Amino acid sequence: MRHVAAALCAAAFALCAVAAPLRPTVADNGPDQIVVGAALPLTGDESRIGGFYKAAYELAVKEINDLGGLELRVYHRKIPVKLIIYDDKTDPATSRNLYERLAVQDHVDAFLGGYSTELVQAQTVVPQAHQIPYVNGGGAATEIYHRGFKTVFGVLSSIENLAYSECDFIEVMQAQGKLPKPLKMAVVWENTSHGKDFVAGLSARAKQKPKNYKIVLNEAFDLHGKDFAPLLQKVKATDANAFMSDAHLDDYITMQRQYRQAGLHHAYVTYGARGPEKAARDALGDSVNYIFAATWWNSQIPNAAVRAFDDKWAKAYPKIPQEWYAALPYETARTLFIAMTEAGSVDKVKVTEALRHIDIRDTIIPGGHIRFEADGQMVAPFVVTENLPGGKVVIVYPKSESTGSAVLPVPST
Amino acid sequence: MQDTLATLISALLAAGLYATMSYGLALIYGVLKVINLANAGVLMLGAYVTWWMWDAFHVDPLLAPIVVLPLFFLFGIVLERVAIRRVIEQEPIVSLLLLFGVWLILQNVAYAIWTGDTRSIETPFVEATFKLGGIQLAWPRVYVFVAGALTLAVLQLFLTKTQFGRAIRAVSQDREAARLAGIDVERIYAVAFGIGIALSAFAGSLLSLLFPFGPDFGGALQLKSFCVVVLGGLDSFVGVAFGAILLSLAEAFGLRWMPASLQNLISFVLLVVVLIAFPKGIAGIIRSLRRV
Repeated sequence: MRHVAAALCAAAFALCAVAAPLRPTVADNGPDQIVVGAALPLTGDESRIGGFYKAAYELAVKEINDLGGLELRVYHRKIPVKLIIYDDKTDPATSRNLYERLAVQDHVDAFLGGYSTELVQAQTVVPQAHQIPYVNGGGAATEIYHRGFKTVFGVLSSIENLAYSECDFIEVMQAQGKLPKPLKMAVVWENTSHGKDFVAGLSARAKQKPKNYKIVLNEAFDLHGKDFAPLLQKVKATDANAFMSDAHLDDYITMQRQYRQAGLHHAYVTYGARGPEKAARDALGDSVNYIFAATWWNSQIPNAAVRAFDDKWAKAYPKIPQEWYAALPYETARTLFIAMTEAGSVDKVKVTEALRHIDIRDTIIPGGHIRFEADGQMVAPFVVTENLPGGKVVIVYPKSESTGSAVLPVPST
Repeated sequence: MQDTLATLISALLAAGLYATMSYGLALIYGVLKVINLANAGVLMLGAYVTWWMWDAFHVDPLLAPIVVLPLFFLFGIVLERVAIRRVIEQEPIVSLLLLFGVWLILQNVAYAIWTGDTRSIETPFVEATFKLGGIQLAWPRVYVFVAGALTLAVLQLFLTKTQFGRAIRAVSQDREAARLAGIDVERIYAVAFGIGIALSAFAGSLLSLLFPFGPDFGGALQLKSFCVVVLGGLDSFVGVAFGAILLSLAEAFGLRWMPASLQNLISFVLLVVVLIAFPKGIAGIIRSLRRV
């Protein structure tokens, strides 16, 4: 009897062994869900913008899941996406730890990035260490991409390029006689790699075109500062006719108020990527008029894809304005999902490889084209905007995207 | 010459701001020997209440202290009764941690009520400027300076000329002797804590005229307040005023030759030097000179 039982067991094992290849394995069938994670500044200094990123990521994931998930050819089916978002409290150390948690405990297939250069800089060591693909739309400083990290990609063009875009615009205005030549620039910049890129861009252009530019003040300030009066006094002591600041949103609001209180006036005023935000208009009213900004996106870009995004966003989030803080993370998530689809699986090496060779043409960013350079950062044109009275914002450069003419020099009020 | 004068005036106006932020901290330490780490949270709430009254009910922010002072005086009394009283006799670290916790709670309450959006008060007064001898000055900064000077005068009068003020000073000098003299020390603690919190909220209300703010507002300013209070002497309002002037002069003139990003370095180097050389601050120096 014991021999019969042993023979039956052996036969059963043999049958299983033969039948196994005929049935798809768990690996062949793919995972139940694709897990994507991010840590965002939902509280702390950058919480307002963190809220945009969360909303944008959720919108992109919802769109995919409404269609049944991502179509991954290796598994011959659509797989839904699960998004995990943690709050890093605008703290770089917390942000890094949360990405570690996403990698080790949540076993994410890919990362979406956070917002602001200092947080992105801190968190990007984790995807490199675990070799997990990571795409961000919130870190533009070149330093993030110059560390040789192979799995890190960013859809924000560099701050140096931002400075060049503003210079391109300024040169057009100089040619039209709307700005003096050379433009004497008082350059103040936040003491981060973001600010360093800005001043590096302006300095490079000033060196290249000394007839167009002269830097008369070059001074750093602390991020999230409160009292810029001493700095602005230095600006006042110069004979600058352009005030070129690189600041984050809260510093832009604080500095611009103190700029006005100090009675300063320049022919050209910019805060780099900051200027047209609704929060600034709400906080400062007409004090933000005639401020120029070079941004990665604007809802007025005359392009069908942008209009479609505007409608989609307004329907999903009627109370959140369409700012670049919404568009770039949305496009970031879309880029990752397209790369996964092209890789055909959640294999991290294949997804990273797909990101490296990605070439998307129908995006909502200026120029419409997403493609990463060898260092993982994208090069794309910026749009230059100007705030006008009545809460209006117009794109003044490049000509192909413009929706209005620049009012220059800035009128004294 | 014009530049030097402008720097001097700017420093004096900043001193008014620093002093106003620090009186509450100094009073609470002077009487209760407790370092109020929740000072930043109270500054922030004072700013929010001012903004909220202006935004929702169109109350002129210059009138907001009429509500802010009594409201936060009561808040201070309740906080002292509910929390501080239970830990005041324990190791200083206990009250430090408790008030740090209170700060975090206040921050999160602000996030829950007002979200993390940057808020700002916009009235014609906030942007109003005038010229004095060719130097452009902002009215709100002058207003804050005057308010700081008046606060100092009122506090000095209250502490030296009223029965209750003298009782507060007695408790701050020797609580056991004050108790033996029949002073209700617990009542003094509650009232002094209430006044300290009200002063901090008043400072927050004034700061809302100068700076945009959010729930994290006050943290960086709190560090300045610590510098001012240590420079001035931990329990003297006149010392605090001098500490504020010393700090703002050092910052303003230091930054004429140094990068603006080193503003905080100036404050903290000054703090370290004073702690090593004159641990009792300016008030201690004045007392020693008087003895001589």
